[in-house]
Amino acid sequence: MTGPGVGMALILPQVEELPHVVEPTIVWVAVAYFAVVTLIGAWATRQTRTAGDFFAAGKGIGLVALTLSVMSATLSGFAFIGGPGLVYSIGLGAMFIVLPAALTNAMGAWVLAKRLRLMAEVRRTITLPDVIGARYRSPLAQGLAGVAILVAVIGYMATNILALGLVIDAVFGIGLAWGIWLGMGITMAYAVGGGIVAGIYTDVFQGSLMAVASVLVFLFTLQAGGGLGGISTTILEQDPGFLGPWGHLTPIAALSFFFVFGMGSLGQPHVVHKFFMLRDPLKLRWYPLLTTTALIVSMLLYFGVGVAVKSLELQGEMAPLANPDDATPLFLLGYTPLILAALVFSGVAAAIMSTVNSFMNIGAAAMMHDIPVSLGRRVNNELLWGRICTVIISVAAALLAQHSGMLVALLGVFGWGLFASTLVPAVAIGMNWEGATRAGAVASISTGLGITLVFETLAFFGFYSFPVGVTVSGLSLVLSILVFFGVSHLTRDTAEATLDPDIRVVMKA
Amino acid sequence: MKRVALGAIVGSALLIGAAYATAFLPGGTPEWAPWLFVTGMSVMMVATMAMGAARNDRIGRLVIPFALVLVILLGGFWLVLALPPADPTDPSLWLGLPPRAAIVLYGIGFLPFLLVPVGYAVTFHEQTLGPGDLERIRDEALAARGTMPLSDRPGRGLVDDDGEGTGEGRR
Repeated sequence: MTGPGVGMALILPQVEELPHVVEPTIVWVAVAYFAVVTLIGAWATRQTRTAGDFFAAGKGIGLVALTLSVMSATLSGFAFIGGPGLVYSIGLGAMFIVLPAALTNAMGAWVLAKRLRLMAEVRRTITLPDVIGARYRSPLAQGLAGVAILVAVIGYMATNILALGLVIDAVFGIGLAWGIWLGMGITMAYAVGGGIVAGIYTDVFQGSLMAVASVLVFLFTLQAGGGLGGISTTILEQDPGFLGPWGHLTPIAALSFFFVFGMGSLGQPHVVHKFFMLRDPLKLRWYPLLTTTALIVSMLLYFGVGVAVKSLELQGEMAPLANPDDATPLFLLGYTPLILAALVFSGVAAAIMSTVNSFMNIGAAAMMHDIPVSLGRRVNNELLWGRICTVIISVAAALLAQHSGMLVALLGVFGWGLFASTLVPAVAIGMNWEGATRAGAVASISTGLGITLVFETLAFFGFYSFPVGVTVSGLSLVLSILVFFGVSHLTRDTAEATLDPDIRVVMKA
Repeated sequence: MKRVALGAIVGSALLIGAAYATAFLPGGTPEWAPWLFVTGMSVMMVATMAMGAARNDRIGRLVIPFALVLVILLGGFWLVLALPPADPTDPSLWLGLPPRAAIVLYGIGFLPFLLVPVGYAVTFHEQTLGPGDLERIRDEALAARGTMPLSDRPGRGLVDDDGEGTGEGRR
């Protein structure tokens, strides 16, 4: 599988029905999980008194909360269901999505964490578009970034809510529609009441659950496959390309994953947004080490289940999967204790809910704060409007997930690549380069937005696709970077005028 | 340092763009295109880290982990491209994986973990933020803002239901 097909599999973790796993143990663990999440949400609601609490946790979170919430927001349900399925389908090439993890957290910390945290101190910024607006003295750039975020957020949320509905249906057997609205309702309840405070502290619980479940399942994959050597030997005998360096992808396609998920990590607002919130910036010292460790641990399941199921299939112990997304559920039901399967299913729901919650919050901020500010307006009670916008975005995304069929898939394609191509040059490079200009930022955001929307749409409807291996997200990211530098160079005489002295101090810090 | 890093980012973006462009040529992607891609991508990631880490235009002791990571990424990817495929009839495994897969997962995927986050923690106070820096930078920034014309000064932050600014730091 190459080209757009892979992109689709990436962004759409679960669009196919999962096998039903309605077992009393699984149901009760899931009920307990939802009860804990609800309690945390109720507590967080009492802590949320201001818009600063709602969107930036009052700059009051600690290191462990930051670490686990970044890890949880980074990993959607894709890490537990779609990812292992992708490894099962295309082999080692799927690992290029997670391979840059050893670098990305430290890169984000050096490039963005300190400067964003200082921006929150100096300018009270709460969103990435806020930072763009302040950095370039440009409401237009802030508005464009807000629009890009809103488009990507609704797409991401719709696909994730659909996935959540499928997981809840698989566990409780209540049907997809009820699954969508139950999952969205619980997530929305704590997101509306407790804002990002609820999101952060449910992430702590959810992230811990995901990490523990991942390690345990990985041990069972090794046991089932006869160790990593046994798994490799079985696969090499019958499908050597699977364990080739690129799996069944072309080299450029696999490398595109590494590029987009490596450099693109600097433009993921649901992750870098959390840098605004750390109580003590000196604690950033341990952030990359802890977050990278948590991410690597949580990705063991992604790799282990994918290769183990492939090996078991080649040994004749499992039938070939009709749907690659069945890899994790079928492995859990066949090769692990029921209680662990129950934990993982709750972990999948946890992963999706934590991602959705983060998107709800940044989407509401774009809708209520960034876009109005770019138009010269601002609402008077941002806490109240933040809550109202959270409800609007959530209901819109759930309706899309339930009714729009292909549109959900189309919107879901945009996600990561749109964030990367619109935000990486303007924010990540722009906050570190005094020569960047307003025109460069606007041009690069427009380039990323235009290329991603046009070519993903053309590819989705089958009108035009890039050659094999060239992904829209990769090409739009590299072009937006080049446009950013090119236009900034052409307009370099304006660089000085678009940089306020206090921002210059932050950039030089 | 920052100029070098920025130049490297532009150069590496051009290499990646060129690698993508070859896919549009008649006959498809040539065999050398992945070499361009891995070179550009490895340089871009290390240059981006150096750009972000530079303080007073220096990266200090971080030059060591950055150089090692560049060697790991470039060396790893070049080895993977150069080595022959594993022999299915006589597979030699490195820590349970065929050699090229082992280079990808253990080398490119894991080794930088031992260098980069550790390098960040070890050099944090000198290269990122030391005790007292936050207050000093905030004061400098506020003083710098004071030099701006009144009409250019940024407005207040978020607005709450009481009409006041946000209550950050209350927890």
